[in-house]
Amino acid sequence: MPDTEPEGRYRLLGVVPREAQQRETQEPDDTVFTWPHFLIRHAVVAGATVAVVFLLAILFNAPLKDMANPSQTPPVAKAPWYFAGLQELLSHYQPMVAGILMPGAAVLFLFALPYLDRAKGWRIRDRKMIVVVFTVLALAALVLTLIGTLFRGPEWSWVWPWKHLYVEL
Amino acid sequence: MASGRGIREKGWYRALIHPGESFRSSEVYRSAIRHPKPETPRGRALTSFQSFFLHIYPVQVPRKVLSFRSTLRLGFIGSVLFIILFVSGMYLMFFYHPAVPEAYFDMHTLSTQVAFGQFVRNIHRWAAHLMVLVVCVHLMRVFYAGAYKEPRQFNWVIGVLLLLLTLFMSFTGDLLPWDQLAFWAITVGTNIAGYVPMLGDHARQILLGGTDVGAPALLRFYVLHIYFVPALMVVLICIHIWRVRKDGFAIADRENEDAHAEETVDA
Repeated sequence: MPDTEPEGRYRLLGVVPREAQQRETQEPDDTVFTWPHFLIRHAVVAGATVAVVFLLAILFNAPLKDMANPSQTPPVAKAPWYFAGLQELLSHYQPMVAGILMPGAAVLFLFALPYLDRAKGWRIRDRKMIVVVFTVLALAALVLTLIGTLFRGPEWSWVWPWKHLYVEL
Repeated sequence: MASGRGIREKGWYRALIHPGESFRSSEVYRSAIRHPKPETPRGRALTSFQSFFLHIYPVQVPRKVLSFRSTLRLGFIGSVLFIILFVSGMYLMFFYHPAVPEAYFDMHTLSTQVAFGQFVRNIHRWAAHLMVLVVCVHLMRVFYAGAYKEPRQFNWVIGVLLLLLTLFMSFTGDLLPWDQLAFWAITVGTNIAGYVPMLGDHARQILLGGTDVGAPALLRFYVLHIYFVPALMVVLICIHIWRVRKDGFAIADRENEDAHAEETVDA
């Protein structure tokens, strides 16, 4: 009750070891128990993820075409969407370059990235070099994938997505 | 009155009126769940220590990690999708033969005659697409957050490996319906393997079990898809998460760094 106690008067409440007093002031406790604080958040995210997947599964059916027939080439033979960028690359350069060297170099770069980045500090301004290289690569992959997925039609010709969409997910 | 109190102390009375409490105090429950109720700090810590499933989590987490924006929960969402794929995939396996042409007919049976067959197939397909997407975004978030910096370099390498395995899972799964879409997507995809220097056609033949996409390729992709790659991924995901637990969340390091910076400024 500080109100009733006049200022400047102190009472001895107890004697504690010096280090116990110090420890309290040195490390402010900015952690919380995983159970329940973190787990409840994970439970909510897990529920939301399941809900999104169920909603998609209710709204859209997985496609099923005619039975596989090696002698009948479809008008549009597209790789799965995550490889459509690679396929787009293959339509520009010879297979050795676009199919092996370029994706191979990109994957090697990704693996070695933490060891290539010699900059100290984690902030973006501390490591501009690697951020620029990574961003250029990521943008290139994104643009190629979008072109391959949305803008390509029969015989890999350019088709505007609002004219016709050749996408099968 | 005295007899009423006597009844309340009987085992069957407690089991009837307070079944939950009675169950929790039973020997079976106490031997299976060995931690006290997680109501006190001690109970919460013991809950983490003594549960196998919670062992993958640290007992305490930095307060900053509680905010959704700190990690966007992308790694966790990826794991949840992996579990959804694991469960839905098992159901699909009950009705599937990795043979030509049975595989294709099984898909028709699945969508017309099997209870929830089409629905479970849809779940499996959309969860797979989402997982590829989420894992890619996870990689980008970790990069821009600088969370691959020492001491976490090697966990980044494991993460990249997991990304490639996720793509490979999606790719091998793509062939299994054995329709025109599957056949030509895999034909286009595996043609690239033929350009590998030195190995070239050998690489393609080992993958396909023949010169073209046929019955042996279907069986190989099936085995890789349902057995080998998922087993490898489970191990790698465990190591990946275990290393996060050992190194701590990157965001916590930063808070300390900031605190240090402030301290030095103050001094």
